[in-house]
Amino acid sequence: MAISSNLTDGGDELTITISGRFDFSSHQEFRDSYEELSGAPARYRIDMRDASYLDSSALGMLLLLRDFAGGDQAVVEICNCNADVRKILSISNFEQLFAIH
Amino acid sequence: MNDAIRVLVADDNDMDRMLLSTIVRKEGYEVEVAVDGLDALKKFEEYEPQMVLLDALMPGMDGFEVAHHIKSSAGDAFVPIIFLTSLTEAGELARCVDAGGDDFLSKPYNRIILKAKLEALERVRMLHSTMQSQRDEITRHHAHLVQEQQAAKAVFDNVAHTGSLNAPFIKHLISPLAVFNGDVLLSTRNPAGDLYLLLGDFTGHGLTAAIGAMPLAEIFYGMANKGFGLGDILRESNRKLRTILPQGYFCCAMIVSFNFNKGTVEYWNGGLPPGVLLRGAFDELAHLSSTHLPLGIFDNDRFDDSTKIVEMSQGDKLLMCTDGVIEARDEAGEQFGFDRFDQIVQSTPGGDSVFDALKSRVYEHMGQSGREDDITLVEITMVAEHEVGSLEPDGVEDSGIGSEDWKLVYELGPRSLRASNPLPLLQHVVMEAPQLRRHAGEIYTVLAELYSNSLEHGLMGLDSSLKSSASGFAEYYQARARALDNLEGFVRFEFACRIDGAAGDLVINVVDSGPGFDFATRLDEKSMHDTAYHGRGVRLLKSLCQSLEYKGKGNEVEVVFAWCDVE
Amino acid sequence: MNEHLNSELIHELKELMEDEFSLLLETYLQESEKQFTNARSAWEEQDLDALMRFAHSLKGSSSNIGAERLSSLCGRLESGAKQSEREGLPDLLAEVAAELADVRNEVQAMHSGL
Repeated sequence: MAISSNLTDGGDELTITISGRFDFSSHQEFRDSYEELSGAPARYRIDMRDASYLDSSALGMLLLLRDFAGGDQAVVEICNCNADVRKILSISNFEQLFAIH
Repeated sequence: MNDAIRVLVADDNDMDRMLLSTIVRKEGYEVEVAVDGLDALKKFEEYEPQMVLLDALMPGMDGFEVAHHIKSSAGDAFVPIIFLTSLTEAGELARCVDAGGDDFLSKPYNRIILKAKLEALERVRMLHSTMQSQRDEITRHHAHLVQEQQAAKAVFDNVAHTGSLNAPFIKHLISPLAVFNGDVLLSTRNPAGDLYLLLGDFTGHGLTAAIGAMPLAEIFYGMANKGFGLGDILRESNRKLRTILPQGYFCCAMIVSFNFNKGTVEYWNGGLPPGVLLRGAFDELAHLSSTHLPLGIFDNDRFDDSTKIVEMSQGDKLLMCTDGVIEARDEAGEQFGFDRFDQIVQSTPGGDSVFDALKSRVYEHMGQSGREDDITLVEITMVAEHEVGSLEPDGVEDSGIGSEDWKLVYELGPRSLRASNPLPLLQHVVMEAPQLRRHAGEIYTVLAELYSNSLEHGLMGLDSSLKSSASGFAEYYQARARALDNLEGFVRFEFACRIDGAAGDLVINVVDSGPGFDFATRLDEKSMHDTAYHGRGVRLLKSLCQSLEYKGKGNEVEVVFAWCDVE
Repeated sequence: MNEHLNSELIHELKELMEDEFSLLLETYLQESEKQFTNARSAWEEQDLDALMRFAHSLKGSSSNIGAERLSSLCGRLESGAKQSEREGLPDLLAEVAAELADVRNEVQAMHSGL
């Protein structure tokens, strides 16, 4: 499981790319990718193109990010999900909290 | 007790022994000597040296055999062996290492070199010893933790895996991965005899997952037993979990209420795989899908407690599971999957147990792969009301003290009717009457029936004959939801209770501000038809109450619940 | 001191053994005589295996006392016996005997001088 992050658009958008299994072991790395920034991006994008699997801990981590990014005011997008990831997000009805593409 | 390290010098040559023991002693170690292989083994047992200098070539038992014995005799401890050898061929030196040697020393014996080797090996020996005692401490600590957890699990099991799960129409499997299980399965009956069941899956595993189950169970059982509906229980559960769970933790849950009298199941699914409803003909599957976020995520102002209702005929089955079943992987890493689950449910021959088929197929699928998640599976069959069994009386000791002559008027306007269910409160008040406690179930059923009639037929004007067709059923509840949003008017309860010795009666009068109906003609017809819900409700009331009378325009009904408890 | 014993090694041994240096020298004298006698007997009995072992032992003892040339000769005797090169063995034995005699004299002299 690997996490990389990339700040674009003059520091306004942070893209975090997940590859492999997104689970409990990713916890610290995921948090580090957005907590250590000096500024506060206006938008967050989670790119799941190489993510094979999400478990409930991963869903929890997404919630933590959303909370960090401002809760209801946050703009967090989850994109490039494969069918399995999509299904997990859909069962949890996370489209009520995140923009999912 | 001397702290000096003990060294054994085993050599058949007098000069060598003399030289080596002198060097070793002068470096601050304690020395013992042995003159051949057998002597070396004997001295090793008696003297228990921490290091050994061993001549490779001795007559009789040679150094290699001695080394072998020493290493196995030392067991867990690390006793370094330095082979004394003038062998120079690589193959021969390798043989020393294979026999268990940790280093070599060749002639002429050099004090500085031997000192360095002894010190190096002593460092390794200390490291090994430290690691071992740390390992032992970890093992002890772990055993202690496991013991604590097992005690806690006993408490937990009494809370989270209990309830009326032993009924013949319920089958369940709870298979925990660790001592604690993040999956929760709660079941109980409300005072009317409806079966409530909650299946939950907390984030994570083990203790962190399990700890949220305690307050959840308390809320579920406490409120269900008082007659609260699913919506109220969900709201309170969500509120509690939102408060106590850290950010990022939540509980995927599905809660159902089986009404055996009406043949319906009310449900709410937030985050669990869809419940699979297998209908009579065994070729029809419906899915009770997750349309809500799990519990503990939304604040209560955004929490959606709306439930759905579907019909189930006798023999229909509902199967629910947590994601551990769907995600169970075989050795190749392939998931069990939703499709396989559905296919097994649908294709199990009528009469065979669907639950058993699912259970064995899941385990077969997992094979030797080692489970990664909790496997929890439940099956509930819709049965006839008389098969369900009556509720056990509460067992609360009737002290005989309470309200024996009282009246209550309780009127609810539109906002109250929309916001909450008055039944638990009314039930609570009525239960103040000491002799009514043993009739809790009947009273609750009467109240529930009166309330739903007044609200749905009286105020909302819904036609219950809609419920008799499959599509009409769904339409009915949609219309109900719309009507609730636009509600106007009131429902008023009036209670008068009189107790005289062992007998008494409770007069319940319910008025709604609706237009009423022509009860004189309609009830006569209806009571002759078995199928209409409307008629069924009235028959139920008549069976529980001494009398039932419609009044006024038909928007008022009075029932008398009487009892005479002769011990 | 001479070419038969390594004087530096002798010096270290003296420092190491202190009062026991004398005993060490005595032990060498006893051992070396025994080992050589055994080696010669082994040769006479054509027991190459035994010859190899006794040559090996004498090599070791001599090495301990710093008799490097003697130790080296014993080494050749040892490998000759191991490889069954019978022809060279009598000569080697003779060389060992000669060198051993010199070494023993040196050791004896040291011992007497203590």
